[in-house]
Amino acid sequence: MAILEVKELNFTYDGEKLVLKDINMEFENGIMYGIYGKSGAGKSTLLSLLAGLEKTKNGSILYNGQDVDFISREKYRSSAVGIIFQSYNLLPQYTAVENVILSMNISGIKEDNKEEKALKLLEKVGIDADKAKRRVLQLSGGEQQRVSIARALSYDSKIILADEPTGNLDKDNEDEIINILKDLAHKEKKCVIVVSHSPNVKKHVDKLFMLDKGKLKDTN
Amino acid sequence: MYIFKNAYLNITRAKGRNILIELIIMAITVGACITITINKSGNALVNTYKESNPLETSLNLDAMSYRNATDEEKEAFNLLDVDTIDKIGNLDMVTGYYYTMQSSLNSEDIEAISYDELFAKPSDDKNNDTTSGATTDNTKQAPTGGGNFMSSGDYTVIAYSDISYNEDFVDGNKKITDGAMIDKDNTDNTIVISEELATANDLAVGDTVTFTNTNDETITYDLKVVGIYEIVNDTANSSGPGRMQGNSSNQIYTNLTVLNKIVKDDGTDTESYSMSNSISSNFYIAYEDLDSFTTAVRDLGVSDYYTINTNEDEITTTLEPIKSIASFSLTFLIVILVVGGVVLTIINLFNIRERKYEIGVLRAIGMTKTKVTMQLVSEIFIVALMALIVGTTVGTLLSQPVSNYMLANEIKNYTTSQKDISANFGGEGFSRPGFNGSEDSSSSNKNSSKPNENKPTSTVSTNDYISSLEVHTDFITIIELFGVSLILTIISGATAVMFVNKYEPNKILQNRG
Repeated sequence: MAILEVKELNFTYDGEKLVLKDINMEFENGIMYGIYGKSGAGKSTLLSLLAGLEKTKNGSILYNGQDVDFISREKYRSSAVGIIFQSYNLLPQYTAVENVILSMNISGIKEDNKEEKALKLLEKVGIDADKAKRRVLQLSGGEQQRVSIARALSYDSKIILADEPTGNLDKDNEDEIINILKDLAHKEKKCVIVVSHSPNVKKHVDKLFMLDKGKLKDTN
Repeated sequence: MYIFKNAYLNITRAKGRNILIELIIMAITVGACITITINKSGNALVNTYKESNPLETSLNLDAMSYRNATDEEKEAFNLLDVDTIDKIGNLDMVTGYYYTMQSSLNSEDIEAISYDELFAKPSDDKNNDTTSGATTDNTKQAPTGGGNFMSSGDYTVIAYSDISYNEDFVDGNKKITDGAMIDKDNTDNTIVISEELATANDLAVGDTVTFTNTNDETITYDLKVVGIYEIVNDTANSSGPGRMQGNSSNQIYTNLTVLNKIVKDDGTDTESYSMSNSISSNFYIAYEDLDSFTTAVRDLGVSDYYTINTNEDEITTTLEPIKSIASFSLTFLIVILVVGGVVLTIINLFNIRERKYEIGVLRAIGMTKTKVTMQLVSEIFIVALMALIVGTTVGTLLSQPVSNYMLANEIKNYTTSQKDISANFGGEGFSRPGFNGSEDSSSSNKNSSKPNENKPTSTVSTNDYISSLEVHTDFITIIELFGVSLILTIISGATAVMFVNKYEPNKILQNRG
């Protein structure tokens, strides 16, 4: 059963030019999806709509069968989906572990020892306890993206949305991040949706969609 | 709860930014604290002054109007006598009153002091013997009414219903140097004379001098000297060279019993005595009671030919500088708050705009607008609270000495301590009923003055005024300051946050990207 569905989605910023045209998609748990396309194809816009950062104007997005527009978007973002940004979007005044704990606090999950859980999540994505207690700007790009992944996992969301997660990383780091995302889909049965134009990402995803001038093509 | 924890983390992790905001709030707080304190001190001083210096009113006969009155009007006219003065003095709103009576005497025993002698060079002493009873001319004063008229002698005899009101002694223009002043309960044949008169006639405390009535030399008065006073500043108007009566050195103080006897022996009727303005009365009331006092005086039958004069203008002039300081400080306070509020809002606005990205991230990962606002306002609140505590402490420490210094100077300028006044009278027990600081106002003579029940009975010194203002200023100022500054801070912070909250998180993050 699809955890996330996109139905007849059309989207425009200015009311005239359609950025997304008649999009219909279904996403399931345990699968890593890839959406690729050229710059300006509408990839990030689609991801923003899936993440609840933009409001749909025409068409609908259903989470577990419920229209996202009828759910509190803040609640949806803080519990249903975990978002991984290309530029990490971590809070620089906090340490890695504090960034993860903040996300837990916002989601409102009940956890006896949030710091312990945060440290475990960070360790899982390759950040040791020493680095976890450093402020994020003292970490490398790859490490910051791992922290960003740990943050997205911190409240056990079923869907992970990643917008060009390897866009700022070198080849080694890119491979490691892809492996983490693959594990999340295959081992933890999460629905992982990755927007990227990286050929390396295309190779590893289970299902691949292409966006071209706002239109979706199933390449599988 | 995590909101406050995050707020605390943000404050400690961004010290530079918060120290700048703290310094600005502190500067506003210190300025506001000083100006509020000065404003309150100034207003309190005005009130204290008014309480300790009641309005002085006097009833004066408008002689010109009286002369122009018709015979019928003159017939209906009632002179102000002692009984009426007492009735006015016993009105509820009158906190104190007194009247003085004045007459004159001659003496064969002693020589009066003339102006010529008073200002003569030592070498002229032998050639200028203008003193002695030989100079007594018994000049009659111009008649002002019917009956026998007052005669003018060498010595002016003055009696106060309550001598503690004698301004010459209150102001220190005269001082008892030997013996003591005649107190208000004294009815003996006693007098207080000047040092010049005592020296010229080799008189000392305890000596008895025989005086004669100016109209009938066969009537004599044996009056005992109980005190001698020094003329520090001669404030009496000169009656011209050679005159005796107008000379301050020839002024003799006695009690009402003696003076009433002299007036009676003169054969002067009440009307002519009153018309000659030899009896004058003063009443002390609160500022706000002037209208009711005027009505009550008229209700007691005091003629419209008597005008009610006050020293209101004089006091208003005295208080003007203090009022100006209070007014200026209030204006300055408003300027500080307005300018401070605007600066604070702008700084908060820049501060929040600088943190736009942070707000975008928080919103993107699901924090609600309300919680974002709460967190940012909490940060501003905590910073402001710390600045307020430090600023208020510094402001209080600075403002108190400043206002105390101003108050001490102002009080020193217009207040003569009761201790000094008592010294001028030659001892204790000469407090003025109706004035703040009367040493024992309850002991006032009921016939001449009333105790002021609302006034403290302790001796007033400059320090008493200052300390009472200190307590008043501290508590209220701090409460007001906290209230005003916190509201200002929260409004400025909330305005800034609302400004930023209008952006969608996606737009903030896209713009950064």
